[in-house]
Amino acid sequence: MRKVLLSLAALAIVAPAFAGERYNKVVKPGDKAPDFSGIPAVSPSGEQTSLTLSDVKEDVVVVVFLANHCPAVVGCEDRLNEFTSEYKDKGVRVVGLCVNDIDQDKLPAIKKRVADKNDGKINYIYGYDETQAVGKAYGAVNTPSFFVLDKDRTIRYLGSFDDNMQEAKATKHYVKDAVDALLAGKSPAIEETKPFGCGIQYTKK
Amino acid sequence: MFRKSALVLAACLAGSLAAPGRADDPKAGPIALQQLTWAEFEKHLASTDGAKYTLVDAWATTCAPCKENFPHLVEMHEKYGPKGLAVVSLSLDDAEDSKAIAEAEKFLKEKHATFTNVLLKEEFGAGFDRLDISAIPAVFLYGPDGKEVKRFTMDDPNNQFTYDEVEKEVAARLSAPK
Repeated sequence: MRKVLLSLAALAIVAPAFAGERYNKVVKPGDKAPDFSGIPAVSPSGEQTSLTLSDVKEDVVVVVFLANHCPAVVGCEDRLNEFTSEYKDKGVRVVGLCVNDIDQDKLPAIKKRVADKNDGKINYIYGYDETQAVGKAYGAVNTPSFFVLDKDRTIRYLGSFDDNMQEAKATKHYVKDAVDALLAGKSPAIEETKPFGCGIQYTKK
Repeated sequence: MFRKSALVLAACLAGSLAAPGRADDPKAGPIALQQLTWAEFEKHLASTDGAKYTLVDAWATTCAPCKENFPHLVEMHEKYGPKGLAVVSLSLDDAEDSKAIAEAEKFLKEKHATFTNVLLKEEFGAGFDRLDISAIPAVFLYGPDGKEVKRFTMDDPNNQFTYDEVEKEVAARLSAPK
């Protein structure tokens, strides 16, 4: 945060925050969103289902890489839940995905978490990709990591949900702003931010 | 941009726990976790008493891959410490979360981390900005002047580092003629 303050002057001079800054090593704003299909998933009601991007009919899709074990994800859950509720009738679908190869994060654990802890915490479909291919295709290296897709399934924003792990301290709401812009037929002012969170370790093939 | 981050927890008692033990002295006193600001940490990197290089491993108690790979750090310390490698573990846990700090100390003791163990005393998440990384574990090699000479990160999903790569780099640099 201090860094924010220290660099405020510079930011004021230089264009919108993050404009032009690249963090994701694989995809960038404007890229076609990598497709995925048949990903085993758990619905908010605890039923086993599957996730296929092309099945999503909403105008805007928010793909978010998550992990049960990750405190940064847990810390963001309330915000994500609120966001999902607030936007579900506005043509926005939230899709949670996990690609971590650790027991705490695999599908049985996701199912248990949704069943045990679904006290309003998880109200989006939560899938698990054991191949990790989806995470790699999106260049996701930590959780939570967000990707906002438009109607054409082009990536229009990628990065963090907001600018602080503590909700009360958040002053910039990147995902919401990007979604609002798209719903209004505009381009997000900020297209990429640096996502922070627990690292995703990809298995070496 | 800044902060937001990552992982975990907390805080501090450790700050006053111990004086910066020599990173490469296996006979150093009890394993301790010292809290340093970024400025103090940088100063420490530039004053590593004769070490040819300093290896810094950024980790956190909630980072499973970090903890899984921590033994590699201990091994490298034992193997290359006598040859001039100083080793530092840098916890990015929340310096205000006493539970996390206690957990970090417990972990370091269990792993026999007889080198310098630092908890970054900055706003939670600031370490990621300071180090310019998106995820941990991340490993950095610094020269005796405290300048970074090589980094190993998880930031590219198609090219995530391994500790074998780190060891190769360390071995090559330590054996290179001056």
